[in-house]
Amino acid sequence: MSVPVPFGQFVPGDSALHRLDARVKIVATFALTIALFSVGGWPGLLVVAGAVAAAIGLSRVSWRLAVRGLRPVLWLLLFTLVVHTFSWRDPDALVQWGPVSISIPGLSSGAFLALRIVILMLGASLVTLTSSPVALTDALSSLMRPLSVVRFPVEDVAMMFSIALRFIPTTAEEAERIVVAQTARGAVFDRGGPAARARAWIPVLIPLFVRLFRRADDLAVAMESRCYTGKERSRLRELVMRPEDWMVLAGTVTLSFAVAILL
Amino acid sequence: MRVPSGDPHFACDRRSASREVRALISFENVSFSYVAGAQQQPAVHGVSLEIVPGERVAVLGSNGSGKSTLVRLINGLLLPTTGSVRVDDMCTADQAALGPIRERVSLVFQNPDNQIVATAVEDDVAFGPENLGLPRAQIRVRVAEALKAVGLSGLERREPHLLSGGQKQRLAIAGALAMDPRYLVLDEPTSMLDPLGRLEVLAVLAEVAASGRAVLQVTHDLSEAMQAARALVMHQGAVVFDGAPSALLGRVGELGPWGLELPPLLQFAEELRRAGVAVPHDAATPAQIAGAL
Amino acid sequence: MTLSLRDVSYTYARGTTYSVPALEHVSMEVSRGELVLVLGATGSGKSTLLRIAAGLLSADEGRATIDGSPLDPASARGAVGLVFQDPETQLFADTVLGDVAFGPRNMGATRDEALIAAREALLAVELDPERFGARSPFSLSGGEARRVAVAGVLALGPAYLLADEPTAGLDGPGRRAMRLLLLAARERSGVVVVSHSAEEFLGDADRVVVLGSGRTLVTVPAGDLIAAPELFASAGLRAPDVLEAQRIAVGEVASGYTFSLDPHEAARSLAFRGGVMP
Repeated sequence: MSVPVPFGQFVPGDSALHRLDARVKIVATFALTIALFSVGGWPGLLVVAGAVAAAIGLSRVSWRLAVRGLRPVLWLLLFTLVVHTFSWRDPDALVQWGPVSISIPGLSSGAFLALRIVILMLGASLVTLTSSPVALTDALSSLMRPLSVVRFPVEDVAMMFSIALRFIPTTAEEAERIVVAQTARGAVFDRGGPAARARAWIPVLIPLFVRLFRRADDLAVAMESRCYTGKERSRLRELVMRPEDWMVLAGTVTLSFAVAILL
Repeated sequence: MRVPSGDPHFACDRRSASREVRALISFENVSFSYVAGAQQQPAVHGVSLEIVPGERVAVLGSNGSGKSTLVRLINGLLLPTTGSVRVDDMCTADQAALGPIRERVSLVFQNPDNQIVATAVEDDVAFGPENLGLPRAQIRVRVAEALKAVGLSGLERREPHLLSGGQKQRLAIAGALAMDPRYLVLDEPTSMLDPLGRLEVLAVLAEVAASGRAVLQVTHDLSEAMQAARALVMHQGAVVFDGAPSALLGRVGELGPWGLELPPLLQFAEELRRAGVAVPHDAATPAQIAGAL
Repeated sequence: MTLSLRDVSYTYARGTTYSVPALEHVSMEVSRGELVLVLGATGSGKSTLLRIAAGLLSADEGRATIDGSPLDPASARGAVGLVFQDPETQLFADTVLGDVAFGPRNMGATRDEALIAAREALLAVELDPERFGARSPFSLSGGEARRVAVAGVLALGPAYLLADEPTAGLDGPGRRAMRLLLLAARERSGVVVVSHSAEEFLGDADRVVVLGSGRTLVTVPAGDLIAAPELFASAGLRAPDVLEAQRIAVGEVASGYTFSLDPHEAARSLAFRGGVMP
């Protein structure tokens, strides 16, 4: 049964953003993140927000999907907002209940910090939404290549990353099936204290891990049979930076530094 | 001829120099034991056989008969405890020969999910050629040809987990074919597939065999074995039958003890024979069987 | 005493842009002592049907009942056993006996009661509790592990037993053992076998539900399906070869034998007897 698109999964498309070299997307996101954390106030934040919003528009990924990426950090957002908005016995309070008060500076700083997380998450999930797993692995291994100078096993790490991406959906399906099967045997996952709940997952986790190890074994044998040694591999895909890739890269990096320094 | 030592190198060195290189897979008095704790469990013993290029062979047997071990001995995933396995006169015990051997012998396993490594169809097919360090242009050609051979052209960018079971297994076969192997060896490639997926895979195998590669397919399904020219039956680690699959149907009484069952269609043919209808032993399709009436 | 689904529909992710209708107005019924075969190709909604029948998913529309009361997680708990495809993948305990006793323990049985139920269930799948009980479930052969997993479900004493492709991946002897085991379970429970292949259970089924892309195409006695093999094709399935051979053979006379095909007789004889009549 096909399961609806979960957070961050690749949504195939042919927009300018989809065609952009994944390395550029990763570096650009990184640069914008630096800018995001260096800006001193609202103007800078709004410029970065505008850049991310423009990128989402360009990607033609629906806003709904993009916003789904925020779900995992919803609590963090609320927490940030609440912690900063409410203060204790503020003399310039806007509203006051007993000792708890809301002030304009508090409200502003809460919103500022929350928005920063929103922009960061939207930007990061946009990368995974518009880049295929293959493009992501290739980009990462290419970006890591300089590390091979210090004997970092770039190829092996890229292969591990690719295999992990390959098996996430398969393992998720398997986990769901085991949960259903154990539920049908009377297992209950949502009763009792934390310890009881943790214990309840044992009948799911053990089979899942046993399967994962067997899978890993099978996979190792299959890879060995296909002559994998981790050495002297060639690549099907060639990463070539087109002029537009260089332009986007230069543009976002310049923008990020300008924002970080000036605003 | 018995090889007195468990040292595979010894077995390798005994012959070879005097012989000219011949294209074939040969098992010479091969035994293999799994070591479980202190005791050894023999999985295969005393197997001698030859498989020549272009042959289509079915290996039959129940679970635990040693047929999966046999497959893993062919490309050196397992090394014989005694005896020797040679591929085109290269010995699997010779570490340096394993690369060339695995280039010539491609393996496909039972569970398609556990042998697909990449996150897109074409990248998975390219995995083997990439490991050989082939130039990019050549990889492209091989990927395109392999995908065409298994009927997956057009799905190059698809993510493997979105494929059907039959498609996944055909992808695995494409990955094997992209190595341009002389021998394609498959360990129960259809046993986890639905009937449609099974038919897809069998059709692909028929074409691969027709293209001149040797196809050796492990199965426990007699009706699949009927498509092969030669059937081997493994029972308790030994080869107990080696011949035409139709000849196997002439020995129905022995199938039970070997852990093999006649599929309903062949059982029906057997009923007809018992009733006095002369159904030929190589009749394997409904039309052929009913046609005998 | 019936497990019944009437006109049930289910859509995944309903109301979103990625909604996937899985079942539309599907009906199925099984009573204790019956074996119902649900035939459907991959993607026909079989797994959704199983989850609903096991009370683990609740249908968007239609009525699901068990012995007259509404089917929900509470009423299905312990009463509907579910044997997934490759059920051996759910084994987890240190010992076979401990694994089989997991269900009864969840249902509130005492340790002793659970062990008694586990022993009985192991006997029911023809594994000697003395020989296998203390072994690790991960040390078993494929066929043995499958039977232990089925025992883990039988130990609940389910009134209804649902099995998804119970013989997939097993060799000849394993398949036969599994088939006999499910036939024996019919003595106590209503059994539903879900499969994409008619070859194995058509001859045993009291009724066949043919499922084609989320809709019940037909619910018929097995014999009627044999009389109308085009139904297989309409559900994206293949009629068993042997059926095809028997159909071609109808009316042929050879060596003093006439070949006749009474669909209902053939249904029963499909797997084990030819249809040759003197």
